[in-house]
Amino acid sequence: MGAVAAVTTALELAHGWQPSLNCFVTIDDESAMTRAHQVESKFTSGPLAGLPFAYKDVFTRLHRKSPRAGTNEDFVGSEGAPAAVDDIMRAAGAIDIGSLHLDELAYGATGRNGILDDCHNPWDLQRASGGSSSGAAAVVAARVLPMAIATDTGGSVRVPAAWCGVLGLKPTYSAIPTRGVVPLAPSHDTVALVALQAGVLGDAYRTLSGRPREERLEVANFTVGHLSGAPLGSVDESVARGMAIGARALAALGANVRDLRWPHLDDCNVAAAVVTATEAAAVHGSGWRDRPHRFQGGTRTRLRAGSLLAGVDYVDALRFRGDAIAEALAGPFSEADIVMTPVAPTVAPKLSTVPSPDSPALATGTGTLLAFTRPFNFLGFPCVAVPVGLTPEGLPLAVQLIARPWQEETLLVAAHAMQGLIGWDRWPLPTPAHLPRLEPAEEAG
Amino acid sequence: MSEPEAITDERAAAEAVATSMSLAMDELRSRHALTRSPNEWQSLIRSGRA
Repeated sequence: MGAVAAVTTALELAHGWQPSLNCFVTIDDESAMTRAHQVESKFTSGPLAGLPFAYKDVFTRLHRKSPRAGTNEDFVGSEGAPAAVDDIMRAAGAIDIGSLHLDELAYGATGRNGILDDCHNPWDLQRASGGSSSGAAAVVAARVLPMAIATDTGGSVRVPAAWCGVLGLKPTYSAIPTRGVVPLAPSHDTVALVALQAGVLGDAYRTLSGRPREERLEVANFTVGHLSGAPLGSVDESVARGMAIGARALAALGANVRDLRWPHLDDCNVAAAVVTATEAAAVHGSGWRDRPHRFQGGTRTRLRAGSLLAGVDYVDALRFRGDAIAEALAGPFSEADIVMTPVAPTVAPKLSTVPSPDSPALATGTGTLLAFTRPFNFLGFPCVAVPVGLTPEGLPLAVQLIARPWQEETLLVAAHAMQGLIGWDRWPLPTPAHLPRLEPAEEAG
Repeated sequence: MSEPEAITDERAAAEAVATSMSLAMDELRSRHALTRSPNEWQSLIRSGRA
């Protein structure tokens, strides 16, 4: 399909789904079509040429509105220049069609936002999409776009990817440049990707990171450590079932799957919470102190909490970070190429059960929700959320695969093989009556 | 709830969250020696080696 036809279809689907999902902040019809004609007339080639996509609304984009990061305010980068990622994607001939919904400041994990209104899960519109990259996961799950570019500071791509039944890749810390992205906690912030298909995910990752494809990896040669023990005590029955399905799938693909314990994973979550809270309070301190009424109560509470933490706690959290990385490399990752964990402790909850983003109560429940994801922002290791099945109610189940730093190709090979076996890209999505039922897209790479 | 009451609630919630995090760090310090410099994590990620 040419760029003009691909973008035309994506825009039609975007407008069709938007009233149900509220996944876009802006849909840039005119500039996307102009760009599609430019790409087509220049015969731009490459794996992303002509590919429509969208950005979480934290990226500064050339000739587009400034990002608002889910708030009431524009965020203009110090130079006003486009994000590094925008430069790369434009050079690759990919076409961004708009900006996507998120939790306020990307500081949340549910997709609830009183300023933008809530984002909805395409598998059940009464359910949360997850966040903070809510729009990115919902728009890809609804088959509007093959991929989206977002950020992940504590699970912000992986949680919504898991709840919406798509792939969510958080690369190694600093693998993709963050210049021109509204920060939250700079030592955890990672540009991250959502896609339906592993081929597209890999093409986008390699383009944005500049790292080559690894040809010789095979799942049959991988040892997979299946997290067991105490950390799993907090997950619900369906998530535990998802873990069992994931383990069976990898074993069926020839991997050597064995149980693995990670004694200090909970401590990584404790220290990660301190790092995130302190850095977010420092980065956004002037905003919420000078104009508190412009932020939601939950966000204000989190930022205020971060400002109250002692400097010694922040520094000790960073000192522990080195110990924890060394321990992970010498312990779990000396035995396994991949560690498998849940993504979130539950499947997508009903929106009516998720605390309002204006409530201070929202500040207290995040630690449990991010117990399996935030530790890996702290460690900086690459992770991917991979769909593994649907519950009897039709809600997606997923697992998280984690590799050593810079071993994204290991994760991409595993995700590609699991897609072939599980086929989440062919799952029949409940489609609103006013939209045409879509056929599964062809694998693009 | 009036705005001053909401702000009071937020302050109390923020103090509770910060206290809880600080206590959790105390427990973490009791379990780990913390021998490394606060910058060492960056080179460990870059090298990917322990």
